[in-house]
This record gives sequence, C-alpha cells and structure tokens, in this order.
Amino acid sequence: MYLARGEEVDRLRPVMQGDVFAEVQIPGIDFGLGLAMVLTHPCTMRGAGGLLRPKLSMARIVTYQPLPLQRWPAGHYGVMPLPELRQRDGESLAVAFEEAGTVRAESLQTTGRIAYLTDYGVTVLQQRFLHHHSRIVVPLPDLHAQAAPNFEEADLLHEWLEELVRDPESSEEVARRTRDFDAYLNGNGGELRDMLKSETTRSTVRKRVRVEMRQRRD
Amino acid sequence: MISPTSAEPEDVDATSTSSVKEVIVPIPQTMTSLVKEVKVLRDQVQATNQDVADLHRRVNAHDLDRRTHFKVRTEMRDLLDLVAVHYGMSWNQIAQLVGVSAQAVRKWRKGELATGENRFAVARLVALLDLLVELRIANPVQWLEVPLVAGYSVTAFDILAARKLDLVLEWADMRIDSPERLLDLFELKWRERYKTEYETFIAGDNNLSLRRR
Repeated sequence: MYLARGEEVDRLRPVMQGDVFAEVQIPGIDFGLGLAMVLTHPCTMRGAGGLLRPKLSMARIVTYQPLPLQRWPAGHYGVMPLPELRQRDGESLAVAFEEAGTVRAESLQTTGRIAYLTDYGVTVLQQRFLHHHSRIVVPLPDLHAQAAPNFEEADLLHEWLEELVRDPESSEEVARRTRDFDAYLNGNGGELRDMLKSETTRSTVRKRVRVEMRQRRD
Repeated sequence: MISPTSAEPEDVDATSTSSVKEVIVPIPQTMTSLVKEVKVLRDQVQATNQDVADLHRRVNAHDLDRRTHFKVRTEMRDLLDLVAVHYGMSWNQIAQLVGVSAQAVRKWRKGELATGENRFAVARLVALLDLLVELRIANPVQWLEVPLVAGYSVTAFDILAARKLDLVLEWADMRIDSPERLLDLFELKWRERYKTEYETFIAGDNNLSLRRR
C-alpha cells in the first residue's frame, strides 16, 4: 500500500492524493498539529505550471482499532486503515473522512511528509472515500483506469526532478523544473498529456520524456 | 436400406406388405477402411501436434534462458535503461515483474547493487522484450498494457505478472486463436473477475472521468 515511508520518502516526489504529512493543522477540525492525509483528487490539485493549487483537502489521521484486511470491505466505512504507517509497535492509525478540512498548500513542506501511497493504495483510498460520501462502490480497476494518467504524470515528474534538480532543498529550483516539465507535456497542443490518457500511447510518452530529460541533463 | 456387408443391392422381403420396394445400397468395403484409416491418422497428427507444441514451448524457454544469460553481462543501470527508455516500461511495472518494491528499483537506478537473482530477473525481462519484438510486436510494452477484451480490464501484462510467461509467448506467437481463448487458459473465471462496469471518457475539463457503461 505504501510507496514510501519514513526514510524512504523523497522530498522531490510531487504531492499526491494519499500523502501523509506530520504537524498539520486543519482549521475547524481540531486544535493543534497532527498527522493528516491529502484527500484532493490528483485531477484537481494542480493549476498553472503544474504547481499545487493554493488549498488542499486533508483529513486527520487518528488512532483506530487494528483492522485486518479481510474486514475492510465489511464496515468501518468512515475510515481507511493505515497499518504500520509509522512502523511503531502497538500503534494503529486510520484516516478519518469526517475529520476533513481545507489546508493551505504553502503550509505543507515536503520535508514534513512521512509517507505516500502506491497507485493501489490511492485507489483503495478513493474507493472508501467515495463510498463513505455516496454509498457507491466503484471497483478498483475502474478507479485506476481513471487516475492512471495522473499516476503516470506524477511518476514521470518525480523522475524528471530527480534527474534535473541540482539542489533538492531549493524550492525555487524545484518549482522551475516542475514548470519546465509541465510546459514540455503541454507542448504541441498538449499532445503528450493527451497521450497519457490512453494505454496504447503511455509507453511512448515514457520513452519521449526520458529521452528529453537525459538531453536536458547532458 | 443400407447393408454394410453386401456388395450388391438386394431387395427386401418380397412378401412385405409395404407398397414401396426398398433398395439396399451397400457401403463399399474400401470406404469403411478409409474412414478408419483417416481417424487413426487424425489421432496421430493430433498427438504429434501436441508433442510438437510441448517441444516448441521447451525450446522457447531454453532460448529465453540463453538470451538472459547473454543479457546479464550488461550493467544493471544499462539494463534498466533498456527497459525504461528504449521500451518505455514504468518503474512500477518493472518492480512488479521482477518481484521487488518500487523503492528497490529506485535504488538500483541510483547505482546500488542488486542481488544476482534480481539482476537475472531484469536481464530476463530485457530478453523477453527483445523476443517479443522478434515476434513482430513493434511496441511490446504497449502490447502488454492494452486490455485484451473490450469491457474487461485484464491485460497481457497481468498474465505476465502472474508468472504465466508461456501463455504470453504463445499469444505473441499467434498460437492461441483468440483473446477469449487466451483468457480461458489463464483464468476460467476471468469474465467475473475482470469485468469493468465503468468506462473512462474525457470530460469537459479535458480530464478523464468515469461513467457506467
């Protein structure tokens, strides 16, 4: 479920639905700082230049009874369990969908991120979140089909930043390289971004983006 | 009436009360033998066909091993470049096929050493993609990613990820005559398991959305 936790977390990974941040204050939900998860859908979290929109929807992560995987479909629909999120003995956490609010993106630093999810983990989050709010169950493969272009773009942007950013601690350079990537995908009328929407052309986009990043690196 | 033994047409009982005189047309001795001979021949050809198919699969497996042993001499980073840059596979897909985490693949990209077993697995993946190209699949990763049957999410990549390499190679070599037959060989309940209830479409904001089929 987790793509990275703890020390594996890379600050250059673009912020994505399902990311877990520490020391987040969610106005109107509770007081103080705590763990929170990004709920905003990847289709809507970025604006011009591929940069994060000013506000993100986030939900509080709370202590919750341990829930074996086979019991997830049968209930506890108001949460998504996060087993071994911090790999601490005896700790059992879950993201609580009702404890959600709006957080300013500028208050989130990627250095405060402690985990992010795999594509599978994000689709499980989407499925449970959607069911909680609408009682509609959408199968995971269908959710994945819809979000696949966003997953691919996030992976490619991460790779682009890893290849080209000289100083990962420079938020200005990271933003500049992010805008470069966005401009590259938008080139020629958004051809590459459109090609990401189809399984028949995704591998072509990966090839072209990787060739381009190597050319820019050299 | 047909008599199997008589060589000449013969009349039925003349005292019969039937008003129609029936004529017996015999089956020639040679036709009966011919039927038997062709049946035997067909059974033999079928058995031989099965033997040849099994042999073909074994030879393919040896060929892939031979190619892999050649590829494994290449540096891991160059192998990963071949899969990712030349063939366009995603890092997550590589991780899934090799049987490791995406983090492990990321470490290899940065130069960390991989075990011999993992290096062999990546080399085998490169060898497989080369083989698919030789089987006239111009873009093998695209070919692996596209759903096999409309309305169902299962792909050749899923079959490969389930370690059914022989089925993928048979399909690539056009030895299986339809995607439905391929999927029947892969998983009998595929129609239940992989049916997609929703389809993607491009919504007004140019992003993909979902709607019921």
